[in-house]
Amino acid sequence: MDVEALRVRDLVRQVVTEVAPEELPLLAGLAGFDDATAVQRLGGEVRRREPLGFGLGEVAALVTPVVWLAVDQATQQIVGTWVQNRVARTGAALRRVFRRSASEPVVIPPLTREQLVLVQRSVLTMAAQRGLEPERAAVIADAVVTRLVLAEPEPEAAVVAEVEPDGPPELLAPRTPVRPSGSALPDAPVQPNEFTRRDGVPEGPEQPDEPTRPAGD
Amino acid sequence: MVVLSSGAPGAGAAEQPADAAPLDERVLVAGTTLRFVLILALLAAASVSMIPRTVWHLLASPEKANLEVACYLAAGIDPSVSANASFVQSRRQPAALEECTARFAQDFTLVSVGVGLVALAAASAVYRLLPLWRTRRTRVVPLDIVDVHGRLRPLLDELVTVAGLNRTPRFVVDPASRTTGAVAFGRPRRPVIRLDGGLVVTADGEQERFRAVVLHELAHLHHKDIGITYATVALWRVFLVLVLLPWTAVGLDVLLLRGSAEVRGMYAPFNTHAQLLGGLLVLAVYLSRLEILRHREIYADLMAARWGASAQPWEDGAARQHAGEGWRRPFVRFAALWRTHPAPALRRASLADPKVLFTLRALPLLLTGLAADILVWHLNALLYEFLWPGAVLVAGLVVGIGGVALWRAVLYALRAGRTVPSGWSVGLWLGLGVVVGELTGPRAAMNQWLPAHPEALLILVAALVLLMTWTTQNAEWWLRARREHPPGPAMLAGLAVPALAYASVQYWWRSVGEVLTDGWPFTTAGVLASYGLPGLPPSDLGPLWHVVAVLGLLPGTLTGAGSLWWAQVLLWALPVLALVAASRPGGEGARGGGQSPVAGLAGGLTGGIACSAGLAVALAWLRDAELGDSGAVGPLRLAQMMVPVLVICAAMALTAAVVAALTDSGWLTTGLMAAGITALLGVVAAHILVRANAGSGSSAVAWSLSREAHLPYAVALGTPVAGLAAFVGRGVGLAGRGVALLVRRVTTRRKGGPHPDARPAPVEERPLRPKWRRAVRLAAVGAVVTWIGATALAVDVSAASGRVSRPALVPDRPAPEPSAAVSRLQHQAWAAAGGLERIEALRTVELRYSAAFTAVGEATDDAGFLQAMDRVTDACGAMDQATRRAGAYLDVPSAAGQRIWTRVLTRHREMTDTCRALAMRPDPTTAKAADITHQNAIDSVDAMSYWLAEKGAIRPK
Repeated sequence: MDVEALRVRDLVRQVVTEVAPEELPLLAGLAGFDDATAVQRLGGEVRRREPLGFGLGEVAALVTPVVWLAVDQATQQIVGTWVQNRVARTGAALRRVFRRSASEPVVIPPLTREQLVLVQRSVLTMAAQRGLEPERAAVIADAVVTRLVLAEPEPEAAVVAEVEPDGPPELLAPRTPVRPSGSALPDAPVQPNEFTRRDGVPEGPEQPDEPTRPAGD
Repeated sequence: MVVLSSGAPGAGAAEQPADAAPLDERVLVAGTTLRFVLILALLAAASVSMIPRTVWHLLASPEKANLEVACYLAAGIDPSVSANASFVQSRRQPAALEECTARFAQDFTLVSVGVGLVALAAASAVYRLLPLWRTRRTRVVPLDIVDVHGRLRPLLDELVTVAGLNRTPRFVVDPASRTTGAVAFGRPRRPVIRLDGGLVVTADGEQERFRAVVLHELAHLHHKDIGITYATVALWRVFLVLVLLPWTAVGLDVLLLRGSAEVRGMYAPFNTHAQLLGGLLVLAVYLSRLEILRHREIYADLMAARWGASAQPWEDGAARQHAGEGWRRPFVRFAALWRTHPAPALRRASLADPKVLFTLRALPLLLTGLAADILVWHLNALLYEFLWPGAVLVAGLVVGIGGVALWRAVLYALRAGRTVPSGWSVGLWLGLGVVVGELTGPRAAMNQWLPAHPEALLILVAALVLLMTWTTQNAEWWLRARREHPPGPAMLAGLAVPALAYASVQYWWRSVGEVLTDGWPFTTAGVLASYGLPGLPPSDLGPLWHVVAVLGLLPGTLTGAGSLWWAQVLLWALPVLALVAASRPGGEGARGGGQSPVAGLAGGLTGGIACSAGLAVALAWLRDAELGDSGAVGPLRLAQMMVPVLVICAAMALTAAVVAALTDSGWLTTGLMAAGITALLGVVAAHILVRANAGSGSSAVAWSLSREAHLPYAVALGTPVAGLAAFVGRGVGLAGRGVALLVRRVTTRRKGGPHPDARPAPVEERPLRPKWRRAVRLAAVGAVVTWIGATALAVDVSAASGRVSRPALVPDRPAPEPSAAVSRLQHQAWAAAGGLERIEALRTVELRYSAAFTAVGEATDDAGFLQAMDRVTDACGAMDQATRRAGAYLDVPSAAGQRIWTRVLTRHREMTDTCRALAMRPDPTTAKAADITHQNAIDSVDAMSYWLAEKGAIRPK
């Protein structure tokens, strides 16, 4: 299943780039966090009044946390049980304490129609909870679903993948070397189509938010 | 929150029109540093007090600890009676008690110091690590990572330049935070500002907001808020975990679990008070810290606005926040106490008029009084030698915090043309905090649930009310007179005086006064005897001697320089200096709200003349009076000191009351000034009259100024008495004016004249002529110089020999009889803490003597006889030693038991004597005598053992 997966953070970047590009600086900042940390921090309590803080800060209706949390939540429901989820989170917390390597990025498996509906509903619910207007919530949910649908594998590729689960990844998506692009800053806006790849083969050390470039380019 | 805006009756609104521009909040110090210092001092003192107690309870051997407590019970101390009665009992046989407790004492000072150092190191580590923790990799990212467009950095650099900071802070971003705020933290040398993700996202669209938020945080750095705030946070957290939590656990163990229920119940009041005080400490520190932080926020807002921040974010914040209405309002206000920031509406309003920074509020004052009282309790852990520095510290903080608030309030009222606050309410709230601390904690009640006479605490409240009213009137005068000058230096002097005066009250309270919460623990004979003069106490204790005894316990009793009695002089010396300033050409103080120089001088001179006349009469009466037994100089000497003091104090009080009744504004300072002049003249008159008297009569006493105690007594006692009398005079004056107004109104109505509500036009006061101005100035300077010189002389010689002074004043009213249960416990303790051991020691030497005596009888040759006699001699020495050791032990805590114990000691002394006689002259007579006394000694010990067993103190054999 992992072979066909799309990373949550990639999906978030695509959606944010499309519907709220002004939030890309936040994604640049979140790039340094592993998924578990990012989800935990994005879902944490709002600290309005700390000593020597401004104290009048209102809560901005941001798209990034809505998409990330909603998709993460839906993915957890689809691919794992609640217990597994908690174990993973605890593991992440322990890793942080002992300065171990970051947790693996959360990936989204190919989804059925029902599962897509679940994701859409999750986004809408999260958006409502976070104070986004319904119209905007709908746009975000559509963007998420669209990205997920576009990320679905071609039927033939899926068949191949089914027959030869360990087959060469090039059949699904070209292997994309992960490399920092000198001029392009890590957080520079990226083109949506950059994130339609499939990570068919195990990659080297995880560089979650570094821009990737299709091999064909 | 209660707002103290009640104006002094008659204080009146300031005359000058309201300034158009809002008052600059920086015109006077904010006073928050002092409040932080109070918190830090409280935490430090509480740690010094709590750590040794915790360490002791954790490490001490329970057996030895119980035996140490048993010493006090064995000394006849009844835990269920008042602290004074216990104290009286403990002073009956101090050497024996000290020896007993020293034997079982367990000293863990080094461990306590070690724990204290660890706590200090932990606080330092927390202070240093907090910024690192808050800027950890999973929390924030450097600004440059987020500043993808490169627009934020130049903007922030510009804002830092606007703020003019010496040190550019490090900017970091919390990308997961959705709020549009920021926060300043770090250490003064490494400040950090964390921007929230929401703020960064909206930076382009809402640049005004971005600027306002960042400027607000830069203002915190500008005001040096982060150092003291996070030092307090670090100390507070370490205190909670390393000091308070273990202390509470130990306290609850002692209160609920340790030992028998009977003993726990006996000490339950004290332990409960101690725990409650711990809870109050948490409340006081926590609420004070939040209150200070809320103040600092408004200062930061104002500075940000001054640097060009738009008011829009504050407007938006206020618009979003809905103030509680109707029944919700109290809850909203209560909830606001627990927040780090003021209500948005208040912040918005403060941008236009920062009156909240100048308004007197009850809660901070109450918390200050409470925190200071808890501080006093924990300072008790320090040595008695640190009493006066402790008193100065506490008084400085209490009066400093209340006084700065008052100076700011007065300044604001004058500049805004509003009613000047009265000041007495500030003293009342501070005093209420003190009273709450005293009644909740164990200081006043000790091992009772409530002190027997809590009304004695009103002395402290009255002192604070008096000093705060004085501070207000003094502040008003100086602020009016020196309108063009910066008010800081005047405020410093204006606060130092009442702070020192309150320190002297604190000193007296802790030395003598606080025993009064337990009732009157002295007897007149005891007080008079404590002077150590021949002929005291006199056989006939008439009313004069009762008055003298009471007078000797009031402030003024303690005339050493460390008691700070001389600080009372300054309470009227400063108003006299103000008089000098008023007489200068162009001085504004002579008009308006200042004290009236004419009233002060005239009142003082009149009072001085009356005082001198009173002294002449009193001393003439003393010359002819029969005081005490003939030939004893003590009564006359004491009377010659105390009667003039009484007359001078009465004259001061009367003068202050009359002047206060007749004066409108500055009635207290003017009244005190007049009372001071009265006292000065009175002391001089007393000195002359006593010297004149000393030459005549049979009981002539040599007097000199340096050996008299008139001055300290008159000042230290007379000044506060005069101050309180001024309040009475003020009340009477107002009542009189009210009656006069009523009478005039009735009369006018009958006559059909104009309505009396129309207030008469104020009569313009004629300025003094130049030559009179010079005369007033000269007189004032002369008075101050004379007073200060005389005071310095008195301070200098306060320890000189030959003065009438008292080494130590000890409560001497006897304690009531203990209950049967307590009596049984006391006897058990007497036996356990050393009584039984001494009885056994006596038995052992008796046996040794018997053996030696038998050996003498059985000796068959000279060598054996001599050897046996040596054994007898040794036994005599051992008997003597055991008897002495038993005699040095505590008395049996009951009359019946003590009679038997005395018999034991007497019998053994007799036995020792006969034993020695036998050893010196061994013959049948001495042998028989020794045998008889030996038997008597054995019988006496048996009787003692039977009696103790019968009493339940020991188990019968």
